[in-house]
Amino acid sequence: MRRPPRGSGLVGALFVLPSLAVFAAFLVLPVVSVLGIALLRWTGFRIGDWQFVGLANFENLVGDPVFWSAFSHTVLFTVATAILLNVLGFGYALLIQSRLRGHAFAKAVLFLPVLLSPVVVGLMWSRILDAFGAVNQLISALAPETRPVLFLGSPDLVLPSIIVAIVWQFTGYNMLLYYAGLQKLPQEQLEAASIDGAGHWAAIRNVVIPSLYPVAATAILLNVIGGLRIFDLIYVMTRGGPNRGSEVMATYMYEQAFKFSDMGYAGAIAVVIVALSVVAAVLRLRWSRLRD
Amino acid sequence: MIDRYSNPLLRLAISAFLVLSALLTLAPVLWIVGLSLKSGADVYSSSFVPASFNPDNYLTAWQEFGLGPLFFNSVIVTGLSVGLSLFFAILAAYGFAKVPFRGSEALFVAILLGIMIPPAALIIPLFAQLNAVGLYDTHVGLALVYTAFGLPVAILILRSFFVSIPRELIEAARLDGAGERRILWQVVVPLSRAPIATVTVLLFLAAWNDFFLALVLLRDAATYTLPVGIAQFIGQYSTPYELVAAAVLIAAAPIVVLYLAIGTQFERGVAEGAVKA
Repeated sequence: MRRPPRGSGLVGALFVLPSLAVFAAFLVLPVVSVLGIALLRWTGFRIGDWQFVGLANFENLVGDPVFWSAFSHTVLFTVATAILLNVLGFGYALLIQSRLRGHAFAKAVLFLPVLLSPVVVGLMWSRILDAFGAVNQLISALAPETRPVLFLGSPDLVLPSIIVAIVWQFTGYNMLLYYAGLQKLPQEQLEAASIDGAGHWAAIRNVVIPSLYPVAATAILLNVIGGLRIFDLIYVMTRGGPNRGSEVMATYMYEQAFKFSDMGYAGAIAVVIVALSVVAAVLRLRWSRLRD
Repeated sequence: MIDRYSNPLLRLAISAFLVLSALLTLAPVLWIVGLSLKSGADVYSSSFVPASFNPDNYLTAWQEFGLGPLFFNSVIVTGLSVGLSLFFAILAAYGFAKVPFRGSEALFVAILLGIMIPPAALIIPLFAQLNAVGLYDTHVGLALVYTAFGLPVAILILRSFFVSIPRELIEAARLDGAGERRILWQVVVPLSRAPIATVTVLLFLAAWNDFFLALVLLRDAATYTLPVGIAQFIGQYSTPYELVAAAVLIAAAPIVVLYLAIGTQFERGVAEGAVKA
């Protein structure tokens, strides 16, 4: 590497300094202190007005059925949406890539919900799935005798209903990632495949899919990170209900921290979220090293 | 190759499927539009097309839920955080790309790890910290937190572009006696309009749409941003449905209008932010 010009050490550091200060104060310090807070009994109102309880919060967490149900809902949301979003996203990217009539319209419309606030999406879908909502209107038009289905009020239907809203919002996101990946396909290989007389599906299977592995890995990891932190949509649609039927880690943590002022216990849940995010980050790093 | 579909029947089927998918995606929004135009007596009727036409609902929703102040707060917080993170990120990206110093590589990697940290994990210490320094329940405090979460990806995108700027250009400016600051603002930044636009879009979306951080870090209803405001004011079931629908559409409108105006910029911003992350 080129030697930096004389005296540039200080200059370079000065350029980085403002970002570094914000980063240290609002990301590094909180990461460190959340580990400490998880070891306390603390209402969060006054610094120092706390009690050190060691690992008690984590011991309680392990024995807390609500935490485990929030944990398993989080995993379910993450896995289900990651699968659906990647299958749909890849499929639509392939179809859009055909450049047939209607592709530009479909691309624009499918992507639009990605830009909306999850609060807007949540409020919309709450109305749509409501007893007087669009879905129940449709059901009563087809089968006039049925009683309205309470999608968000039934423990069996609430999770699939929220998954539908998430998939509605984010299919366009994965579609865009795969579409961007398709633009960078190795053209020579594709030509070779078509000269060989390989069929359409064979070309997709042998050339397109293998060269999209990096895109797929990125997309899946982003979906996983998005799934682990899911909060907005659920808070707006169900507040974690009915009867904790859609509680996830972030909503449970929020409740412990800001409804019950139990910062230590909420901190322990936050540590679990950090740990899972770190696992995702490490997997991502290891994977990108494999690729290089 | 894959864009050569010779079978006309297949072409028709794909086109039809794409248009149908788009309409299916639009259907919930159109239903909400219909709901927003119904009269209060009409909302429980099961007609998809409103029997009545009440555009007044939008005005009522705007006033009833105080959407004006909410918009104003969102503009303040978003503007502050986008401006601040853009300014800091441009400085840092230039430092990392063109004025490297001892340890700058390691520092850069450390900042990249910040991309992976979800806000939910840090909300408790952030709340306590802002509370301790008197920035809890202030727009400045919230904007600083947005800045912190926005910086890593902004620095990453800008640095990778700055690195590609020819060294000769910068050396020439240095020989002309230009200081580093002048080189950055008069040589590098004017060449970097595209990545700066991409980063601006990303930062704007994150701040404008955020709900979780604003929900926790703002308490006084007078400081609420748009997402927190509409969730708190109209999330309740007693609110008239047609007004909820109108308010939701008003809240979504700026993003939709921006998307219609500069759609490709949004697509590029989101795709690049994802691929770089």
